[in-house]
Amino acid sequence: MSSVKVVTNILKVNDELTQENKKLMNEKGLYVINLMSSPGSGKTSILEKVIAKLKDEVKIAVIEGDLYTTKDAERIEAQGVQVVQINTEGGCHLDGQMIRNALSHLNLDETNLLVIENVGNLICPASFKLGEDLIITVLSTTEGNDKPLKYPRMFEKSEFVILNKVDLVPYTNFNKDEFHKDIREINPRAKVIETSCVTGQGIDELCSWLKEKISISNPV
Amino acid sequence: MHEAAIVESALELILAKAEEHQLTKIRRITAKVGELSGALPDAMQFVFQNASQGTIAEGSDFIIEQVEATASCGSCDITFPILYYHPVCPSCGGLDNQVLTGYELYIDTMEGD
Repeated sequence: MSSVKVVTNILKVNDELTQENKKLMNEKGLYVINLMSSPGSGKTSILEKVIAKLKDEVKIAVIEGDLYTTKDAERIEAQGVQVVQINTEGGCHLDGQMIRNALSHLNLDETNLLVIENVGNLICPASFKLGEDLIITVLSTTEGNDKPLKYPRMFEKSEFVILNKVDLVPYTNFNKDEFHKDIREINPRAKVIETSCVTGQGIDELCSWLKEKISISNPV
Repeated sequence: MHEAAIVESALELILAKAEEHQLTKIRRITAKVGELSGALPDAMQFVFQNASQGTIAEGSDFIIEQVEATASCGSCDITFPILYYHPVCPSCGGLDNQVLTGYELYIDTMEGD
């Protein structure tokens, strides 16, 4: 019987792939966002709004992660930006290998901002680094304000937290004060922004935040 | 269930290590899994029993040691357990704390022939 000291991170394979991906992203000068949320929170709608506002100033490409269908990729393609769809066919998150494949389908020389829209799931995607510079988690008011406490990990990892569908607050029992307090406790460093894709609230502010982020990471 | 991907990754590195050390049978594996790692030990066990079938790790003891999540408060100079990802100092209520443990997700040791 022999004993071996292993002491190796279990996600080493994903981390190594992600490091390789990150090297390529850096060579191409990409600013990378990992956008996460439950299904139906409005990730794609927010992205459509942001792309419409920023596409003349920033060259955007999108990696769309879904279990099945190319519905979201079609919506993004209609905005006139590069998009590649990853179908995980049941897989609950995106990983380094999938991102590597997706990157090979994009013209990275024509890209400054890469948005990875992760699989709609508030749990699993938080465990897999994808080489992002910024993690954004979206929560919609219709999900209930208790979700950050019930599913804290993703919120704890996020630099931006977006509260979407704020136009629906009067029709729900969503308590915004509690939501803001909970996010502060889980992640005091997170910037929180309230948006509505119906009224357009918060979209301009979100775009300025993003532009600030992109310019800080790629000083001209 | 992302534990499937996590355990598959763990098995991959265990089998590679076994080959490196010329082991033909793995008998015992220990892993450290932090409370903040996002991986559930029970789910990992379940996946491991299935995923290890037909490999030299089949039937081995897969021992997962959960690591408590702790943080330290700079102003109070104390270390405290983190409950549900809330690194709130129980003494001063401050939020600007350093997480010390809880993110572990690694294979620590293995034994075999």
